Amino acid sequence: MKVKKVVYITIIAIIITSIPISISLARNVSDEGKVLETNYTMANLEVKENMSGKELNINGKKVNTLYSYSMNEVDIYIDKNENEYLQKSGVTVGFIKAMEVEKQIEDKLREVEIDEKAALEIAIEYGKNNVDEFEKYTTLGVKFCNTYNEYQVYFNKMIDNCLTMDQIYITINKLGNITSFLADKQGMFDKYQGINIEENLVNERIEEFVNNKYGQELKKYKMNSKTLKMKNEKLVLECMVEIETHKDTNYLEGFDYYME
Amino acid sequence: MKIKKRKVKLLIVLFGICVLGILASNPILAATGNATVVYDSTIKGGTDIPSKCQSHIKSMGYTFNQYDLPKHTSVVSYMKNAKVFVSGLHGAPGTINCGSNSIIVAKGSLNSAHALSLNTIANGSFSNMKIALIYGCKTGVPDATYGDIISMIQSKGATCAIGWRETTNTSRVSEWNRLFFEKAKKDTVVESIRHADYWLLSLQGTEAHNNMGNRNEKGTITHTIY
Repeated sequence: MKVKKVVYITIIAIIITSIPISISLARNVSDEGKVLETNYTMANLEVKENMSGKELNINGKKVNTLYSYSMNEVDIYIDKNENEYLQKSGVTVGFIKAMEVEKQIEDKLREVEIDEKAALEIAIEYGKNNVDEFEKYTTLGVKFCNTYNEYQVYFNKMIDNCLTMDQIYITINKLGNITSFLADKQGMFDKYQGINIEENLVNERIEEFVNNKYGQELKKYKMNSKTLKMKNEKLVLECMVEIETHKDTNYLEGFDYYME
Repeated sequence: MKIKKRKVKLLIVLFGICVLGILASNPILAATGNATVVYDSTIKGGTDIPSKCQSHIKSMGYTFNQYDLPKHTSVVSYMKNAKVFVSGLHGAPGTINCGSNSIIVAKGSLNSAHALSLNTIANGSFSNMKIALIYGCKTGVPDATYGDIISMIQSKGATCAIGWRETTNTSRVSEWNRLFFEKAKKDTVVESIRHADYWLLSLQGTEAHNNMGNRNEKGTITHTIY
């Protein structure tokens, strides 16, 4: 009888103590469904020690470069013409060439000029040759940037029709030359392909949050954009919400919906 | 003894010439005058706008000033004295929202304790200004009543003025602004815009890049500000 009592008491004690422990463990493991104001990851710019110059192979051409600085996981090298090259684990994941002197561009433009369609074709060809699984990227579009006279072409490896940070950006000048390329987060979200984003649930949570934050001040709001990002090693849906208050002030606020 | 003194003087003069030569050939610290940032600390992240660009601006040689939500008259007076001017205040089409519920607009004949039309100030008032970055929401959108604040700043003498056509987000603004000045220390305005656009895409994604890329730019952008 005594033994039985001891066993029962032990079992009850284990159950009682395990409840708070499991709750706290669950909290540490998953934030799923939580909404927080966007916590932006700022650029972590640093100059690493013991980094030397490199001979890079850029589109079949050898380029001598010097180490310049590092941003997050990317090392930036620079050549004598101030062109910047982005290296991640020894792979070139981007570059941005210095613009040509305006006069030179104008002179050349008199000879040849490409249109939007041609720019897109050049970008696709470049992507096929320089990005793994390029066929899995969605073409978001091409537009002409009047500021620096270049076509900007955007691709994105979307998940459940939602933008991710796995993006490709290629700019092409009117002569048809590629002037910059960026693909520094290739494959970052591959393990999440196939997940389902419950739009209704996300919208409900965001509405709750916006109402709680602005209360009576809120006149109206609308969802501006949604992007899947990694924050503190967790998958987060960053929702940008345009808010209008009764004082006729507009805000663009970010809210993070935790997917895991 | 006299010859020795002369030699010392000559050496000092030569040393001075060398120092001046080095400074003149180096873009860093070549600039002088005021660089002013007005911001609104009541906006989440509002103080990041001055704090994140400060070191880059100072390294060009400018005297860095920052003011939290000043009144419209003070803002205009800062603008008149600044070579580089940055506004992180709220905005609306044709409008900059300043402290004490005052506003600056482009068009009209407003000149009161509450509102001021830039139209009413003397032509050439901003002739020292190399660049004005007016970040508030939709400051780049012209308004039927209040006019186009960006065109007005440029027409009052600024070499270049830039506003944004969309609702802006402080985190995007402070990061784009930092990236812009990081490059502007040693390159042209247009290269600095391009640099900021490129890196913002890497750091905050396509939507942030498109949002900050929707600008109203007036004046020349091929010059330098250092």
